[in-house]
Amino acid sequence: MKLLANEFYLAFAELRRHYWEPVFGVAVVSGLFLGLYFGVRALAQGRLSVAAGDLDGLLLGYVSWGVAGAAYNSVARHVTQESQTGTLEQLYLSPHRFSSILICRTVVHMTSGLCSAAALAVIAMVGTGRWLHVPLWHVVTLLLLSSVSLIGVGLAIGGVVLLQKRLSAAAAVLNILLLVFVSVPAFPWNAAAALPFSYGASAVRAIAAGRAEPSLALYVVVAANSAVWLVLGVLSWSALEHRARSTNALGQH
Amino acid sequence: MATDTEPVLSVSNTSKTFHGNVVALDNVSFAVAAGERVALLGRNGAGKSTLIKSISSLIRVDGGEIRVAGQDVSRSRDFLRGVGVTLEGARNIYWRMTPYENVRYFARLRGADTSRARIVELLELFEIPRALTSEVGKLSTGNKQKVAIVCALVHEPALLLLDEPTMGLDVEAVANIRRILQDASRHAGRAFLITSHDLSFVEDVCDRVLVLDKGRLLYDGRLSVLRASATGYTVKIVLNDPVEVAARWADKSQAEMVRSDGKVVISFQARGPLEIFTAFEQLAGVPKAVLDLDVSKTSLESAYLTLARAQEPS
Repeated sequence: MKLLANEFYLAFAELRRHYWEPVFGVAVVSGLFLGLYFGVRALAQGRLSVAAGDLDGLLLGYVSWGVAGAAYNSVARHVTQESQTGTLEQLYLSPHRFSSILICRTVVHMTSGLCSAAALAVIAMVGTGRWLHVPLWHVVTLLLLSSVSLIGVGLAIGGVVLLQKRLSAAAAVLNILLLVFVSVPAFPWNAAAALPFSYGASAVRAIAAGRAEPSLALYVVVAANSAVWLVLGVLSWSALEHRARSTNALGQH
Repeated sequence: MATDTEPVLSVSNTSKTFHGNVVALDNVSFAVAAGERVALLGRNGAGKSTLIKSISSLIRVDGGEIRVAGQDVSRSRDFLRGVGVTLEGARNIYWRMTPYENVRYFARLRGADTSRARIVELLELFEIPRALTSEVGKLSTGNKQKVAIVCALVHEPALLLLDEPTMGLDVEAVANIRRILQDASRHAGRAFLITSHDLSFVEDVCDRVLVLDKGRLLYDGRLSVLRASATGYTVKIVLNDPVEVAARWADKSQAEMVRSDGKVVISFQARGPLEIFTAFEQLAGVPKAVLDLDVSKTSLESAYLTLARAQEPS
């Protein structure tokens, strides 16, 4: 708990002085969403037909993207940044295992990501005048459970960046790939369900649109998907980190 | 667990090779006792940073054993409670946080006392300006380095590893770091292992020297002994008559002669005053040719370079 509190302290100390960065981020994403929403609505009044459930799905898709980004970046971006700034090695010089520090950072980053997603959702609802009527508990739980798969992806990518620092830009570009994971239709069940996060995000949209009900089977599939991707991520990270320590690549950015 | 007689640091037959053929450490062995202040010298690529990182377990060695306070660094992380490290070229600390926030964060990470009073006292001791208000990124290079050292010292480690702590610092900042390390060593009796290219800094802070070259330990002994091996004098003469001088010094193979802008700068090592007088006698016929003269006792730097060059294939 002390370790977790320390990571919250680190995040808060930085946020206190640079609060405008997340505020600006939420403002930009909210602006993009509202522009997209009103654009789609204008088109729908003309020729296209857009159901209310689809617009709810659009909003949920945006929130899902926010959670997905927080999960992926909690590991991949942190490892890249810490490696670039030379603080990564100092974290390895702690008596705590680096993985413990990473888990705490992920919790902090996910908390911050959820806060941003919640702010985005509220701004979007106020802006559009549409209030989501979804089983909030199920939606949040499913999104969080799904996001574990992207922590696994982040671990694997973070491990690659440890060894190949030039790929750090590519790791950032992968944020765009998250859009695919979030938007690909993977529910009820198809090959896309094997992708990280996709099944959970699709299921949440289906629930919001009234096409599905939360069920134990749904939770099991989401949990299994996340578990597989997390295990793959942890194994990749372990192998790549071991290699980085053998080749003096931990902090050589 | 460490015993009273056990060294703080023990490195035994440690080797490390990168990419299959780049030897960074070659069967290195030495020990550091509590309170010892040891300098690790060597040219670029000698293996100094690899050794520091190997001791910190940031690099896995190929062979040998490294123990800190009796604990094998490859088997446990607990030894890190007794080690503080600042690495060369790395920022080591968070630039978007204040010095106070950095010290508090790293103190808690290393299980140290995080009371505000203690952290403020430490920062005042190190004379870090605006420690509570200014982001580290806005401080001078010297003050950033001081904050990094405070963070490395905050958990009161028995062993402090500093890789090039004075690199890029101005004279005043180096003097500050020198004072801080001297104080830290005197008060707490902790051991230091410091790499540096600044030999005057090393002379002031350390009392024992390890010289590494191509991964091999060339010298392990008292600084005073290495300095004593540097006997004799270094003589430098600046003359304004290249033709005359070249003829007179042609047979002096040990002299180094550099021509520039119609002047000649001659440097040579003399074993004693007699050799210097003999050399000056050769200039008796051209006294007006001498523009400048410098005679100094051969330095630690010369002794160290002689040691390193002696290992080079002829």
